[in-house]
Amino acid sequence: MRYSPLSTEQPTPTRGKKPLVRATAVTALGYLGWEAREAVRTLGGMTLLAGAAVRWLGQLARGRARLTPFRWRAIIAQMVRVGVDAVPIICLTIFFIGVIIVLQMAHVLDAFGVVRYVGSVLGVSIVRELGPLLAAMVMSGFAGAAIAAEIGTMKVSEEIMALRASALDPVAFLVVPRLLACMLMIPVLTVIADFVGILGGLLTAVTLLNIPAGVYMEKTIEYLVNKDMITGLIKAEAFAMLICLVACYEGFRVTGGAQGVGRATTRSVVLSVVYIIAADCFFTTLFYFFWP
Amino acid sequence: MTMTETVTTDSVTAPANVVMAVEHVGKSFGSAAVLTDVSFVVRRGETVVVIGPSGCGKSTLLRILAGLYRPDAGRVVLFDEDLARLGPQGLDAVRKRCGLVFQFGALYNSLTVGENIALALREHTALADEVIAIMVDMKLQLVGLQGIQQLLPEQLSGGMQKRVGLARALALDPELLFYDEPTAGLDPVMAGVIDRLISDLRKALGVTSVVVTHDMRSAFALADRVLMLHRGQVVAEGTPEEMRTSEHPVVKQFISGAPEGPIQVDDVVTVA
Repeated sequence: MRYSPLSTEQPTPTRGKKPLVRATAVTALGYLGWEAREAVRTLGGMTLLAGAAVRWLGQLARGRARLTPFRWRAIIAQMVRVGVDAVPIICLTIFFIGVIIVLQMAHVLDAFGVVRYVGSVLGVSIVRELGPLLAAMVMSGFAGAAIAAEIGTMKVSEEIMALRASALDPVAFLVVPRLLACMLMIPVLTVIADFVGILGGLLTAVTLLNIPAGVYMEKTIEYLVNKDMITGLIKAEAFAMLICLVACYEGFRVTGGAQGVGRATTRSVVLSVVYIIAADCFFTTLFYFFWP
Repeated sequence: MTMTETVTTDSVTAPANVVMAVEHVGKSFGSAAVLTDVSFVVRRGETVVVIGPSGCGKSTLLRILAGLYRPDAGRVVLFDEDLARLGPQGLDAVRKRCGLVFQFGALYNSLTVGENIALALREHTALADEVIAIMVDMKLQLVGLQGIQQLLPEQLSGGMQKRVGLARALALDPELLFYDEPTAGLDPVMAGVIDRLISDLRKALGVTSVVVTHDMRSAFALADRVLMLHRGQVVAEGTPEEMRTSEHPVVKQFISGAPEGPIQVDDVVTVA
């Protein structure tokens, strides 16, 4: 049987080949190659996990699986953990970003004599880009790390194996509620981030740049179109899936006790950040050409 | 004493009283061969104890038997089903008829004791919550614990965690129970309590049991038959009495605990 991310068997091949890996990692090229291989492998594992989660949701849709009250409670608990708890941090950071962008842009726009358009610049950059990105970054720190650590600890203490021994599917139990929670909460977090970011810019513009609030809001709304919001939310959903799947996969892959859990947590946050930025680049390019 | 009896059991011709037939099972992790050639049968109602030094592949064997690992070679026939030929649903059907008691309990830490035991019942049966609550209480009574449904696993002692693990394994009324080192890490009195519990359960429920342990006292107290596992093979098999008087060098050394003999510390292959 091929090794799959959910197999209870240990992925020993990497362990056995460690000296070789280290030897190749001596050269920068070898290191890059190794990292690329790991990234591809992780992506492959995440795809399998996503497939398993989708299969379960398919069974749910066909009535062959049930969302018991117990499962609902699990999903709601996860939504609180990955979403509600992240709101204050998101508000705080995006508020500051709003202030920063308005102040940075004020000089450039002033040179052209159009400083009143600062609201348009901020509105577009927050809604299209920074709102979803920041919501995802905070979520990867909040949810990603917690999910990887939790599933990793369960793997180490044989809880995952206990689930399988009781004929209970770890994907249905652990991945599905977390994935649904992340995907349900990210649009909420993104919209909150958009509003608070624009609010930060508004307060700065009014107090420091002497732009009337009415003018600022008018320019913000004038240059924002539905497309900005929709592309932002599409990106946010993609980020949430990446965060959750990386974290679950890294958790399931844990071997070797507390150290392994620590490694998985770090890797899951680092990889989420890389995947988020890469996905952002991909979607931005896509929308640039196909939905201008 | 019979030396590793040749197993010719076929899934079709399996006598009704054979619950499990293990045929030439081998398993490697990377380059380390943990099990090379293991064969034995387990008959209905008996307790088979597999003994062997730490790291000889006992836990790996147990996980193969429970359908959690796939062997690289050979096959396991459980309830007349060849595990290798079963798809995920077939495997799950077999797993529902087995209970696995983990070495350290492996209780779900985020769930209470009651929820731990109720989980499989909730997911695999359509019973009402009140009925499940009664069943959970019954399972806890079987292992001598009561009124601890609301506690979290972290609030329990090691011995209690093992007993709750046993209650959880009993949740679906299994026909076959696997125990992984049931007395490891317990004080002698608690180990004795667990041993008595296992034999009481056998008397009360008539379950077939496969116990993996390196605790000789426990092995002699529980076993109808003892298998000695060494270097990935079953090197000896017999009743506790036969094992006690065995002249087999490996068995002799293991029972006496002599540091010198065929069992070398180097043999110990640690598998995560």
